[in-house]
Amino acid sequence: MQKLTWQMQLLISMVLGSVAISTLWPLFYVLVTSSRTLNDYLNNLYGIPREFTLSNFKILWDNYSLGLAARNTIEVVGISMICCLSLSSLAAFGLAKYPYRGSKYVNWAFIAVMLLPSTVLIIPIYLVLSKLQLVGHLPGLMIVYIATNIPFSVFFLRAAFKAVPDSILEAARIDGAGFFRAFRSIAMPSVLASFTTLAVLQFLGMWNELLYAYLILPDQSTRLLTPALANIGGRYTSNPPLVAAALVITATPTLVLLAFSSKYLVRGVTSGIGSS
Amino acid sequence: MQKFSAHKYLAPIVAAALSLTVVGTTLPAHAASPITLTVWDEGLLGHLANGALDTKSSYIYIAAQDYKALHPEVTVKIDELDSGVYQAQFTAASIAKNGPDIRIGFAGGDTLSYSQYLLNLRRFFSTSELKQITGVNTMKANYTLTGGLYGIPFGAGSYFAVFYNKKLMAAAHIDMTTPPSTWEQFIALAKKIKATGANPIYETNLEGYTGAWLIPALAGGLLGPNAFTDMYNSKTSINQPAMVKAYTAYQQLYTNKITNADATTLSDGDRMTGFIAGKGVMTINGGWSNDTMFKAMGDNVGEFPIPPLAGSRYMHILPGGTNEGISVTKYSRNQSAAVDFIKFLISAPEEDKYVKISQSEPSNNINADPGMITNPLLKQQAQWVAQYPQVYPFDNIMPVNVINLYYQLNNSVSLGQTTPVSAAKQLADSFALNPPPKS
Amino acid sequence: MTKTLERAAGIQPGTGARSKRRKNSLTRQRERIGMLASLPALIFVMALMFFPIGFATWLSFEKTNGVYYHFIGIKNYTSIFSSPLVHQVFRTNLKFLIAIPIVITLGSLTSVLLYQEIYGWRFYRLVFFLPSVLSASVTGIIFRTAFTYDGPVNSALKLFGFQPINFLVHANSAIFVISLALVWAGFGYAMLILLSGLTAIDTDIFLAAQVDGAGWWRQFQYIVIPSIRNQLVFVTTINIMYTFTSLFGFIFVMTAGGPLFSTTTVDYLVFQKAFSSQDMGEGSALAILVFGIIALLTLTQAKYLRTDAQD
Repeated sequence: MQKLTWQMQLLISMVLGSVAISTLWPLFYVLVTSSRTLNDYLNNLYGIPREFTLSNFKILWDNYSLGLAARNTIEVVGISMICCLSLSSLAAFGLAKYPYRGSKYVNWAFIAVMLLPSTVLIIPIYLVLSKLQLVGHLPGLMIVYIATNIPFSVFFLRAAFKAVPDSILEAARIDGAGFFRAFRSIAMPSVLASFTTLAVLQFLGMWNELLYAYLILPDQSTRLLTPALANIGGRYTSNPPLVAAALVITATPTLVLLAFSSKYLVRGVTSGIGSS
Repeated sequence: MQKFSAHKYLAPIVAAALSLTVVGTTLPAHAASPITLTVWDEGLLGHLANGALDTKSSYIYIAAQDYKALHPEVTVKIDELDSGVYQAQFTAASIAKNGPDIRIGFAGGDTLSYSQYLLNLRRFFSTSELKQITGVNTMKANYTLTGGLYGIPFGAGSYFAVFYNKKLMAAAHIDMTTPPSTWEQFIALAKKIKATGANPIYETNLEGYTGAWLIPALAGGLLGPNAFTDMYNSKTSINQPAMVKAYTAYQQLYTNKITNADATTLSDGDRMTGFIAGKGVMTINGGWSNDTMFKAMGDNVGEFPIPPLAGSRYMHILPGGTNEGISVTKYSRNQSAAVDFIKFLISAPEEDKYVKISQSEPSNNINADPGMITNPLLKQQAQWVAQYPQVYPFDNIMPVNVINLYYQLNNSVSLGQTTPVSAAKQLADSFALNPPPKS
Repeated sequence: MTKTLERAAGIQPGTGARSKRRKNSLTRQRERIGMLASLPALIFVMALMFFPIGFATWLSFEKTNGVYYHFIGIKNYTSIFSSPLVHQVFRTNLKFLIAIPIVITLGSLTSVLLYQEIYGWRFYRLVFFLPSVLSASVTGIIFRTAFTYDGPVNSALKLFGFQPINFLVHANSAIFVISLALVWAGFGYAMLILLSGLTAIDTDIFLAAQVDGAGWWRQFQYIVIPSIRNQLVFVTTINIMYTFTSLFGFIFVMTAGGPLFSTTTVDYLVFQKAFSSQDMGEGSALAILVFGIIALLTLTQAKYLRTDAQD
């Protein structure tokens, strides 16, 4: 494409720069606010803080059982991811390399529900889980997260497995490798990048999820971190530094993950489409 | 030789997936002897310090510890839920029969609307036990003597009042020896303050609570103590001139611009902080703020009852009443232990302790020690309660859906987006759509 | 079955007829493996996605609070279609669509600039995408705080001599603020998708255009936009769906649907009907309606993209 003149480049840099600032400034402001005392904040809303404190984090830790919430979150997200990733990669590998009569329809079924919103599912899923006595227990939420993440994961990994050349798999088969050896030692290593990408996307989705987490795990002993912290930022709290501290805890893991895996994320996001 | 026995490998995965379900279904089975009582509280008995839950100064957390000392086998687990999602979470959990053992909610409609999930406590409390406490009728279905008892009232109730900053009042050269006795005088007073350049009333009405405290005073003055129970029992209509008049008077706060300009956008959480910070000469609030206000302002804070409209039938009427109701869920597996804990809470010494810690309302136990009331604001409120008739507020009585609409309408009326006539009509329509549960 | 599989695998290569049979059974055995491998995932999806749709459809003909059920035919639907509140809520959803052209415009402009590897493009790519990884509650609370009456935005307005605005209490300005949050959180995602479309363009076409004397803007109009049409359609559809189904988090923390339902969206209303008003039948009917809209959109998009591919 035609290069832009340097004047244009400068102008555009300024515009993009200010958009970038408008993105980063609120996050920076939240970070600074989270380390201020309420008094210091109220005296000088936008100024430079005069004292730094970690007391907001301590208040959250002492009064809102965040340690427990963190443990619950790790358990739910961890197990859900492991189950979802293993089920999806098996299914995707099967669909990509072991087509069977009707596999087209199975594949179609995964794609059909890929974009199904939680609005449609929430009432029936809730009633089903409550019949199974899974409401209020971590596995209840895990099952929901696994099921709702499978369709996209299968779609995504199937495309990745398709790209693995048949000749390598065929060679392995002649060497006596069965389904699982082919899967483990050839297919998986060749789609590792896509797999990582998917894992990152799944983590983000589960970490940020609010609706199911609120309804399925309302009790403090099973509450997850994001809803626990969103509660603090609820409409009835009048302590901005405390709310800011809650936001910092909620946002930090996702931002750290972004920093370390932006390459994977960019790819993951953009491969949602392509072949139409 | 190849061995394609794929399902041998798949079996563990299928099993793992299924075992999740199994784990889930086996979890609820509690061991018999040590008991854990789960209490859900809509932020009523937990104390906020600077907007953050402070478990060390919250009565309910202290009570849980004290109870553990007396009954080592019972662990009471308190769970403070955000009022924004409390209704949805309680409904959802109750459908799944997996909510708390004990629910603490607002007395009246907020509790009775969930009576299908709550235990009728009638047979767990003897008549003499119930005679020890006041306000029991607010927890009975349809507020009748014979209705099912779906909760036990805790505390003698919070009352709403106008609080004022004495120094700022003096700075505006206003003598408060006789506070305004009619709404019209109150508005005139506020205008006078405004003329001096000060903000007459510090207001935060995002949630529509101010309306919920003023309407009962205004409509209650016109209609009397049974104003809203009559509406609930369909003896009178919600859509009647008294309600329109009350809404019109309430709207005057905003049309006369005698509040801070951002009143309708600020959350109730800001109300006390703003008033204490001197952002207004007066504010409208309730007994739950006694303690914080007195600690922050000392003798500088005064109060007077919300004055009724001139020419009202009741020139002295006190809006408010039983605030907290404690219920046991129908699906609780520890119902008798839960009932025992409630009996502990409403015993005279425990309520005394609550009054001492919170200073937000008197005890509703007839054997209460009045000496526990040390806060002058609460002392005065207790005096009013002894002197004047009381009207139980609209939002304590009505079914939950009507209450939710009521708060939203109150905010909308203060914004000028809904007219008083339309507000009264919408409430009546909603009540017709959501009739009280029959039981 | 295991025996069959093993025997099938163990058959030695032989003459023509036998090798044909071997191929058949080999294929069959491979088919079985494929089927078994995809079965667990399929069961999960059937049980927790397909079954619930059917269940919701059934619920939509019931009057129920989740405990008591009572068949009432199409009453839920008739009451939805005649309810002024539902009409208002759908209109509100349509208003939120204003975010989409902004997302698309910002997304396509920035993606082209990134494509041209403007100075610092890697930094911008990261920073613009950053809000996409934040939870709706984080974004929502940040915007709510920024746009309160005493908030930084009004402070800035005052600095420039404007009257402060009560953003969150008037329907349209509240919708504006929420839309702004949607743009903030969403344009980075659109940018990345459009960028992926751009990188697939054959660069020779730009050279040819340059020889013909086409400037930057003309190239943008006549080469870039048509080449990334598929991605544009995709981003638009995804965003429309998002508007109808995923605003819950934002609405929940920013306005709770108020003042007086003026920012209540369809998905928020489903939640309220089901869990606050204890009317799961009507909630389900609404959800099925949303499902219909989503299905229609997806089919339209698929059709559009297919005809496009056949051009």
